[in-house]
Amino acid sequence: MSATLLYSGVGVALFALGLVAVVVRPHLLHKVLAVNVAGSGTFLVYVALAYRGTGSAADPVPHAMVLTGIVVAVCTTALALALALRLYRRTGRMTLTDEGEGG
Amino acid sequence: MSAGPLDFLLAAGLVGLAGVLLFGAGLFRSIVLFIVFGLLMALTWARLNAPDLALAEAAVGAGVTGALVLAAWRGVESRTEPPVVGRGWLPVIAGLGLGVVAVATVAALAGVGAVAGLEGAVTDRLADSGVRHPVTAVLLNFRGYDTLLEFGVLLLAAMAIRLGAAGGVAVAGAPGPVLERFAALLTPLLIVTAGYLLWRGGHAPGGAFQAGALLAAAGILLVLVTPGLPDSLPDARVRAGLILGPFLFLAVAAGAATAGSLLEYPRPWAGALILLVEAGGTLSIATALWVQFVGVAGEREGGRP
Repeated sequence: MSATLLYSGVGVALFALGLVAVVVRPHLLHKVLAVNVAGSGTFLVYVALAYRGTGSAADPVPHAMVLTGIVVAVCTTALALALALRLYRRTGRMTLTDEGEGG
Repeated sequence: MSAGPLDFLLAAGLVGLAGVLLFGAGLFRSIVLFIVFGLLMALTWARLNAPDLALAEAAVGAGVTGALVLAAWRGVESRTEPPVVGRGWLPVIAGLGLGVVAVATVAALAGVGAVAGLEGAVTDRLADSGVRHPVTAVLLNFRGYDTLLEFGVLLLAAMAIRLGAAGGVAVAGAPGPVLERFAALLTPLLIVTAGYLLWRGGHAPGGAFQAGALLAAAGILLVLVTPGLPDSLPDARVRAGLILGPFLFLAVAAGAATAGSLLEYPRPWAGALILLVEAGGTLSIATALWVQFVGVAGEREGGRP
């Protein structure tokens, strides 16, 4: 099995796990973590496809785009967390609806 | 090109960690595992010949993101303990459907074979770009427009968080002696390393984003150990830091537009212009990430001051 296929498969799996977790877990912080994991999976697919073996240099264009993606993901996370905390300030809950509310 | 035992170990670690952190009980545990996951991703980037990404993931993906989520967790820890998983048939059906799509995607990827990417095109034009490192050339020259927009995204997110923040809430709790000593030792080291990474980006893995992330980390450390720091900092300086990078980049782009097309640097000046833009970018990236952290961490107490 080539390294590219293995890591792009891992990327797809991470994306799938993250997507399911976003839908399934009610707590907003869990959702934020899940979106980040899904994003990492997407980046992994991209970089795995850019890999050209241990001897040669990889394709730099996907690397640059993933680098941009990592920074944008941090900004998204920060804004999402700030909004979640404001929701918590207003309603005292870290879930979106009453369903699934714990203790 | 073939995957060795380290690769399978890494793959299993990534998927296993993701499964536990996403679906396990305990919010704090998930956050800590997420930081570990980020470090494992940095290892994976290094394995896949992506040292720029490894640096960025460790600093930004694991470091700053981890700090952000921990700061948010501190804001809600006393109240909410999340239930484990939502109930009902919908998650199961969605999971199965997604599993089918995932398998189909991997099957399609397996059939792709050898891909001729853009590395040849980049190598051909690298001498004209003004820098010697391909990723930096792509980021600041060939795909400079994307990076310009990314500066805009950083600024937008920082502005949005500043606009919504309650304001005036202290970030530092009671820092212990270990944290204070640690911050005192680490801050100058971070600043010097950031400067080095900025310079290094021209000829080796490094550049504005990694350097900016390290500077932001230094700023976060200082905020954690200095009571009253976010408020005592003159707001004008923070705003100046935020707009310097985008402004410089826009000025260079506009200047280049008068001579040729947008963002087409004049050849003999390309290297110097790229360094100028990256220097401004480092400061603005650091300020934007720092402002975002302060905005999230400052929400702790809840309610308007």
